[in-house]
Amino acid sequence: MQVWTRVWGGLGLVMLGLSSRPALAFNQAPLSLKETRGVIQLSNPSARTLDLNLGVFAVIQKDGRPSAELTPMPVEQAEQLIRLRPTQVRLSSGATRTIPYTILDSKSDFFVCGVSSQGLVTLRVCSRWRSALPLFSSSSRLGRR
Amino acid sequence: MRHSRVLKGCGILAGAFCALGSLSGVAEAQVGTAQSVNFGQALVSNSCALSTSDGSIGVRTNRNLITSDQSEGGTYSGALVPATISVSSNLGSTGFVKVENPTLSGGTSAAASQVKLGSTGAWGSSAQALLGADGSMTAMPLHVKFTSSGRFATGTYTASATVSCYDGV
Repeated sequence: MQVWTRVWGGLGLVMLGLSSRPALAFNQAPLSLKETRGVIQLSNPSARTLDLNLGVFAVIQKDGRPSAELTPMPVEQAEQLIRLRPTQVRLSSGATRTIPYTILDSKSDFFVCGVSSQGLVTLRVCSRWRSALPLFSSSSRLGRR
Repeated sequence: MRHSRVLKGCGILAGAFCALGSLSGVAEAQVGTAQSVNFGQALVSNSCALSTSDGSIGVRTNRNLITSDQSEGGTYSGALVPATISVSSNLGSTGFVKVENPTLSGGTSAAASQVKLGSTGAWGSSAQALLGADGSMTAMPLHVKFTSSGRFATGTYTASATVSCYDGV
């Protein structure tokens, strides 16, 4: 009887452990890029080793909120907007990595998303760089015409 | 030198009394040199930790529907289990999660591909959910549904979707 209690108790602990640890997870910060130079921090709180790709994505307005295009910009186009190295990162469980970036075109509006495609669900966490152009610039340009 | 060290440890108002105290011979002593303790840097910023667990899909016995959602009705072969999405962030309710691009890989292309967030959400080509006031979302079920104009051909099918976390500010 005691043996079975221990066995079931052990199984219960194993199942709790499985359910409390996410199968696949990553953290990215900051989600708003405020400075033209800085770092993006990536960390892996999951139990698995994680392969992440950092990509540059165009901003689209869909379903009432700005979000990132599904596919990243071509590398040549992305490299005109931001210098980001490395763009492929392997993070072991519990690891954190900072990726330095430099904004090259502050007048553009784009997302830098960390992407994990290891599971059936592709995970993205996206940091946004907003155009430095003031909101009234387009109307003032129109005014000059 | 000794006095200046002692005064450093005193508050501004208490400085005079403190100095008097040390001059009048109150026992104070420092053994060895002071050691400073440093901490590593912290990045204070908005962040999002997104986590998922994979689900599984099954096919309806008449082979016109592949889904992870048992509530679609009918009998299925395969285990129907939703994927789950959890978020831990410091975004507050400005943060949101978007699910899109439901994709079925296998012998027959789907005529319609849809996702649903939560057990009672609406089916669509994409779905969104705002994070709670504390910036978190706990184990939200994510369902997929693929319909065929005819019957799905025999073979192995896998389903995928893209989940993204954003700061909506």
